[in-house]
Parts: sequence; structure tokens; C-alpha cells
Amino acid sequence: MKYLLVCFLIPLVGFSQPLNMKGSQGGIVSFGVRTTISAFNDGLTGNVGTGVGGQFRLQFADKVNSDWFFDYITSDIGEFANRTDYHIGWSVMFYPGMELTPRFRPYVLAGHCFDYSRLEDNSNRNNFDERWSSAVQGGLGVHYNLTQRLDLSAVCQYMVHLGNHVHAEKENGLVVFHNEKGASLEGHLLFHFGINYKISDLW
Amino acid sequence: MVRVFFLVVFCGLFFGALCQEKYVSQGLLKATATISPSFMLNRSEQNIYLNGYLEYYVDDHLSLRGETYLFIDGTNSNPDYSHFIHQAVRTYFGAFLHAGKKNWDKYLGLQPGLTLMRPNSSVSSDLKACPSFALHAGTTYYVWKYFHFFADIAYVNSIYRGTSIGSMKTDEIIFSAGLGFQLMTKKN
Repeated sequence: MKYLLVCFLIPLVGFSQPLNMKGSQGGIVSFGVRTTISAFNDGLTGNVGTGVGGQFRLQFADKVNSDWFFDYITSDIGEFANRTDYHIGWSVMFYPGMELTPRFRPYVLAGHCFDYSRLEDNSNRNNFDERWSSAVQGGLGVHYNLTQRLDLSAVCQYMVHLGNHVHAEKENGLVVFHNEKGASLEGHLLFHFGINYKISDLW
Repeated sequence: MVRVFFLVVFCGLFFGALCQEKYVSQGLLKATATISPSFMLNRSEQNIYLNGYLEYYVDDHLSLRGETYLFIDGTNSNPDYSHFIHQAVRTYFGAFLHAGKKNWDKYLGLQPGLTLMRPNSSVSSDLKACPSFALHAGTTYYVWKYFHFFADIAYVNSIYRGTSIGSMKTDEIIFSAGLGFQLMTKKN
């Protein structure tokens, strides 16, 4: 029991030490969690969705970082159906500012994502449609550095899905899903609010 | 609930006179387990949760906290209706900002999380994972190097989607108060 407690506490003590920087900011690894608002989804109803996710970041250079994320988002389609979106992807973040350790650090991001969407009839779970696709996203964000290791991040990005267009409609009292092939640019606007903790500087 | 709160404050003030050390600093590890009453914001219901958290201070004013609420039971103030939640587990992880003096700490916190919920309802009885977040405000009074009293109020936001009548908001205000335990993992 004593050894178990020691094994548990040792990594925690490491987390509260100042980050040991090895020269530049390249190599910094951080982990975090985030909450998401999907401001509108494509379709007639355009309902707002909410989600939760996590990410880890690997910084390549002083002004270039990368964000590897997973999001789970649920939203309504009117009052007759709902959709669930799973996103897994990455973004490259570029910090245009000259200062390397400011309190506020704005950035521009762009990246790719793979996603799975499932649309479901509210009154019959066996009536559904689904889609696997890829997406590209771009947007703006800002870190608020609370300490050397911990930051809050706010991001606004637009994600465009590349693939079939799936949408739900109510026709003659029945929920019908349309899965239309073609290069549709269906998308949604995402807002993320996250907390990130820097684990170490690898190089 | 009000009695418990005043009891906590009274005991805190009493023990505070006995101990005036600095307890809140980098390396502090805290844990609690308590019974937490709540009321739902979108329906006339009160629920009871079993609540526990583990918190670690990465800085004198910042901590990371993981927390779980396990639904025990609920009541609807309208006797004609049964309570909405049948099963629920709310789990969160996030950061807390602290401002305290000596052994009295006050804090605000934000935690993204996930709620697993099964309604006690004719419209749906599926267990679903609902994205959620929690906003916290609270206070802690350290009475000894291993014990503290705390009071916490949390707003939790979640929506249960996919019922035959549309989505159901399941936001709640949850109160927690009681005894907590702490351990200093770093020598100051």
C-alpha cells in the first residue's frame, strides 16, 4: 500500500515542478480537455450541438504547434431526429506574435479530420443513417497562459466535411434520411473552450 | 442543507483559531467523498448524488480536479410524475483558480465532462453518453494538516437527446459540503 501511494504521488510531484525548458519551445508536449459548441449544422433546422473532447499538443518550433484531438458532439435535428458526430484529427497552429511567452497568445490554425456521423430517428432507433468522411478545418484561437504549464484556450473554427451529404427530413409524418452522393461541402462552425497542461519538453 | 453549511462555517471558524498555518500551496493533494443534493433547472425535481473528487495543486493558485457524481435517487415535487433520471453518472475533469489566505481558500472552476444517463421515462429508456460541463464556486477551510471542511456549488449542463418528444435538458445545481482529506506531497 505504501509503495502504491509513493508510485501514485511521484508523477504528481513532477507535474508541479517548473517546466524544464531545453532551449526553444519546440518539443513541448501538453494534454488537455475541452468542451465544444457546434453553432450550426448543415440542414434546414441548423440546431446547436454540444460536445466534449480531448487533445494533446506537440510543439514543433517557437511559433508552430500541433493539436491532435478527439471530439464527441451531439445535436438535434428539429424535434424529430438527432445526430452524433465523432471527430478525430489534427491541426497545425501558427503563432504570429513576436513575443514567445505572453499572457495572451493568439494563433491561426488549419488541419484535417476524419469523422463519423450517425443520424437517428427520435422515435425509432432502428431508423438511422450514417456516414464516414474526412474534413478540413481552419480558424482562429487564443491561449490564456495561467502559469508556465497551464493554459486556457478558446478556438473558433469552421469545419467542412468532404463526402456524401446526409440529412434528415420529415415527409408525410415519417422521418426520412437522404444520403446524397457527390462533392458536398457540408460544414459546421465549432467553438472550443479547453484546458491544457504542459507535460514536458522533449527536445 | 443550510444547517450543514452553517455547521461547516462554524466548525471552520472554531478550528481556525487553533491552527493558522499555510495549507494551500503547490503540491497539495486533496480528496473528498460526500452526499450531494441537487435540483434540476428544467423540471421540478430534486436528486441525490454520491460525489467524490481528487484534486492536485500545480501552483499556489491553480489546481486540476477530477470529479464524479453517482446518481442515488430523486423525487418529483408533483406526485403525479415519477422523477426523470433512472441512472446517471456525471464525470468531469478541469482546472480551478484559487484565491485564499492562510487556511481559508475560495475558488472557481471549469470542468468539461461526460454524463452517462438513462431516463426513468416512457419517452426513452436508453443509456446515453451526453456531453457535459460543470462550473464550480466554493470555499475550503483547512482545520489541520490532514483535514478540511468544504462547501461547493456546481452548475452542470447536459442534454439528453433522442427521445420521442425531442431533447431533454438535464441541467442541475448541485450542492456539496462536508469533510475532506489532504496531503502535502512537496516540501515547501
